[in-house]
Amino acid sequence: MKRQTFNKCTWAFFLILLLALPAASQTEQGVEVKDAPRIDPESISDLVESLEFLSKAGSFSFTAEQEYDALQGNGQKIEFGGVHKLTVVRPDKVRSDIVSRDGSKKLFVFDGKDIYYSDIDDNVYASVPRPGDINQAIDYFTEDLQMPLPLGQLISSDTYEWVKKEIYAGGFVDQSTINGVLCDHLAFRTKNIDFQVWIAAEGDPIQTRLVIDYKNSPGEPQFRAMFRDWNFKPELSDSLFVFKPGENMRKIGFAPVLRTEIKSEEKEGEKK
Amino acid sequence: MKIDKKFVMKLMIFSAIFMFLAGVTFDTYARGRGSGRGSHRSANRNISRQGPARTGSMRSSDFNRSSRSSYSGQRQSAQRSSMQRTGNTERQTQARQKAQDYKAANPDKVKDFQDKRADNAGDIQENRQDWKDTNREDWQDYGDKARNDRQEFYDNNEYYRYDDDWEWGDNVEYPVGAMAAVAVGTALTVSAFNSMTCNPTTVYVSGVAYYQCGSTWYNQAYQQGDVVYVVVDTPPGY
Repeated sequence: MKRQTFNKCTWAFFLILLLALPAASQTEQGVEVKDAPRIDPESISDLVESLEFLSKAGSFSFTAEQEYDALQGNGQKIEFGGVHKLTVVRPDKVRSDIVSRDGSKKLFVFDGKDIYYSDIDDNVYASVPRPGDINQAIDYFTEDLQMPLPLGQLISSDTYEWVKKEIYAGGFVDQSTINGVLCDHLAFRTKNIDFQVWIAAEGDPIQTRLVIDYKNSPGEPQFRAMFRDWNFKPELSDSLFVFKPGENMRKIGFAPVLRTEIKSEEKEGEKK
Repeated sequence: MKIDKKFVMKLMIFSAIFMFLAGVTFDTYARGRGSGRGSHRSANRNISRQGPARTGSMRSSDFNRSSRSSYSGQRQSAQRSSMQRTGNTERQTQARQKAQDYKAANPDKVKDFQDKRADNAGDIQENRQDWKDTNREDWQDYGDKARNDRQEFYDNNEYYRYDDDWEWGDNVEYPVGAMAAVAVGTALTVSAFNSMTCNPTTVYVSGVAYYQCGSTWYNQAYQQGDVVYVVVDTPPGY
């Protein structure tokens, strides 16, 4: 009789333990607990501070070792990357030099009036008038012309507003050292991307690393960048933001602009 | 312990043959890839460099377009996304119809084109066949797990198969006679353009380079960070 009672008690104990385990583990993970705040205010404040610091810097330059995944038709992700040097003079000058790992060089220049983009090795360049500030130029280049400008949003002065609006969850992960700099490791989520950023814990709130997960895209590819050589008093020569096409360099267009021109010509033809 | 001298001799002969054949096989493989280790190799243009992560963008509007166009192979997607952007479904239908008509009316030319395309895939496929044949002979006898794995990888990888999946009507690599079927605004990657059977003529109109292939004219332009050839209307004066 006693033995039967013991067995029943033992089974009941294990049953309760089994039911309690998932709840306990959820509490430990902390992220998905409903009553807990989804955004750690201090972490979002650190991120905004970092972005505002950059938006208020009159001129600066930095180098990023960047890499990204490209999903292939067979489902495999292949990594590409390169070294990206960005020089910014607010409100209206940007120069971006990208040297890919395969040795090819690309150059983006915005001088306040025109946008230039060039493939040095292919000996071609394209230009389009775009008077305005850096934010407008980057938006036009990446959205209307559909061209990639990695880290363009980092140098836009309105990114912190996007951050406040789009982030629905995130917080502090830990303190870790990147390139010898002690950093706060923060992780955030938006509807379309998850991203992690490492911000220097002492001194200027500069970013040392950025990882973006395109979670809604097939294969969930990543973009990764390690930042170095931040310089807030860069040497700015007169020629830095002047684009001069090389000898025998051919001028080409931007495909979206070309298609718009074709459409308008067709409309004019129809009117006639 | 008694050592069978005949067995040792056979083992040595088999080893020598194996090393010789393995050397020939790897030499063939290396030449098939363009060059040997340490020398300059040209990039595999069949591997897509596109995708949302390339933009490094945080805003969805920047990468959704490239996300759509990156999944099913670079050339195919460039064609499809550009066709979508033209928004001219009538033209697309006409183009497909013309291509199908051409295919039906010229089965011999289609076959020639397919043969040429196979030739263009050329060295890679040829060497791939060599590789397979050699393996079949050598490795069935000797067996080598590591190299078998490599064989399986080579057989299974799909980098060279994008072209095989293409269909007429969706294809931008028409022979010259069918070039009129390509819609204005359609974009071809540089490799697709270079693999066309015609020899394009270059003319300059108002400082802009136009490339003529059959009755189709192209301008070079940037699309999602890469140089492509966009089908345009005939330039003034031509």
